[in-house]
Amino acid sequence: MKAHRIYALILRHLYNFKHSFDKYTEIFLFPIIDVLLWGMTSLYFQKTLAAQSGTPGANYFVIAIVSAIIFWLITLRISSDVPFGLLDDIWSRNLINIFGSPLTLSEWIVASVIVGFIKAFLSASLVALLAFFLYSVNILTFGYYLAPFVFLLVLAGTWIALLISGLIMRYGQRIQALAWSFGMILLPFSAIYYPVSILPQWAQYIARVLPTTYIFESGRYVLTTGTMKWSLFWIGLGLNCFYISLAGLYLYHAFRIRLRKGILRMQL
Amino acid sequence: MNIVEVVNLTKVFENLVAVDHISFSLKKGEILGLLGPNGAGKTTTLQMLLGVLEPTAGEIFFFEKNLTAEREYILNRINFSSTYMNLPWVLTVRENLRVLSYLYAIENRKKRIDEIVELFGLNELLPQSIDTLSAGQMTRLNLAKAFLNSPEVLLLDEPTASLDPDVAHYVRSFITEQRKKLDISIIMTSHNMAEVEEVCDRVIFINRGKIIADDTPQNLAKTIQISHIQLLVSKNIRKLRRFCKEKKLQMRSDGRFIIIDINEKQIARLLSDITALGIQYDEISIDQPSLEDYFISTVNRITR
Repeated sequence: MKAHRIYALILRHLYNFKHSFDKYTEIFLFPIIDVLLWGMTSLYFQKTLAAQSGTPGANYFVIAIVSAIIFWLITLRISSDVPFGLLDDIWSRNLINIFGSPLTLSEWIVASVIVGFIKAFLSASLVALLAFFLYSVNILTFGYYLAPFVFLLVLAGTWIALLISGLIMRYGQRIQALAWSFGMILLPFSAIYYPVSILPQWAQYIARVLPTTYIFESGRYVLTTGTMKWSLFWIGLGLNCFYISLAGLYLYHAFRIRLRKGILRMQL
Repeated sequence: MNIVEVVNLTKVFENLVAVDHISFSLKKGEILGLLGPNGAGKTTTLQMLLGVLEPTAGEIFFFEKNLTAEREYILNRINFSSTYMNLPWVLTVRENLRVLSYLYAIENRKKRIDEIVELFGLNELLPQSIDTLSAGQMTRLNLAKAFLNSPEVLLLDEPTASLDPDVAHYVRSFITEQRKKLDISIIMTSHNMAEVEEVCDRVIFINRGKIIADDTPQNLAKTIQISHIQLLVSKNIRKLRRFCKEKKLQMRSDGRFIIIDINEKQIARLLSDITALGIQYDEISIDQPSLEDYFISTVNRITR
């Protein structure tokens, strides 16, 4: 693996980011709208419940919902940004320049995940700041537990990204909608805003095999108890590693098939 | 020494044999043209040489190393330009060259970019984004990209397709000039026969994935013995038409000229016959068979 080639791809996507207004929309505007909309909604529920019970109550709803939005952004950004990067090279007919150079698929993966992480960091940081000023939600109150959360969320974004990129490699542009919808499909099953127990039984089976479920369950546990339930972390980590291995193998397999069919055909 | 060696290269797409056991080589400093009708397998061959399409069978060697085993080493020493590719639209020329320079093992990137910018006259275009470039400017940039890593082998797919004649001429001169300067080896495809004749040392004619000829453009053209005689007839043009019809000679009009296609050996006889018939002409020119004649005749023969 050569650092200069990884840097080349990072540079390519950061330049693209600099010039594309739609990327700003994706990374800043939509998350801001999300945090405004859901923050206000949860604030309204919070106040209504407090008024009905006659006690002011804690800011739990707002913290749970808004911090979930911030954390989910990390996974969502990486999971959609990597396949979007691939699609961008297909749309601009640049894929031959990329894979007709000495760049390897492993270098492509590393560079794409780094770019996804940079954008996720920018997006989540901005939204976290906004949440702090609007709702006094400070994600730093998670303390040291923030690092394992972010780590698991990056891993979750990575395996989804590898899987979708593999599918695009294999089937081309006809399944490009998965790039922005696949993360959304996982959203209801990942127990992001509510515990798994709320889901119907059949959906709970799906939730239990998703690493994202354990990440958000442990997040809520930290919020309510102030301590980390490490068993949830280890299950989340194990599942993430398992899916990364599978998705990585699938991407390599899909790339081999693509080489048999021709990279040029993806651009036509 | 052979810089490129292609052995029994084959590509099958489902039921279609796109390239069928072709073998050829390329010497240092040689320019090789791949010719053939649409769908002959030229672009498929170039894609396999570039490693973006896996052959069904056969082997490709660059610098005596196998492309599959030494992909990274080889792709660092070759480059390409193709009408099928583009560069990211929103990036500026400067940004694109920067990104591309990091994809290859180039020692002093900044210096090399400056050299290439100078060589291709891209200075004024540096701050412009790709989507604002004209076709000619884009071609210059694509060639700059292809020369960026000082390649020893260059693969060019239709380098002058859809270009104005003056830009196409610039590209041709540039390619031949660079070959002289750098002793670079080039494989190119083109639909422009005059271009291939002008630029290439050797031509491989491919049809339905098979090599059907491998020779110099001049030798290939020589296999066609039909010459074109252009006459500016001033008297008895009807007699000439009748004569051609009787002798079953191919004849057509081109503006004020009558063009007769005839075997080289029969030219003297034709001229004496039409003089005897009292047909007068003010101007005459005889065109030797060209690569285009070879191409047309071969395509006609194989599609018949």
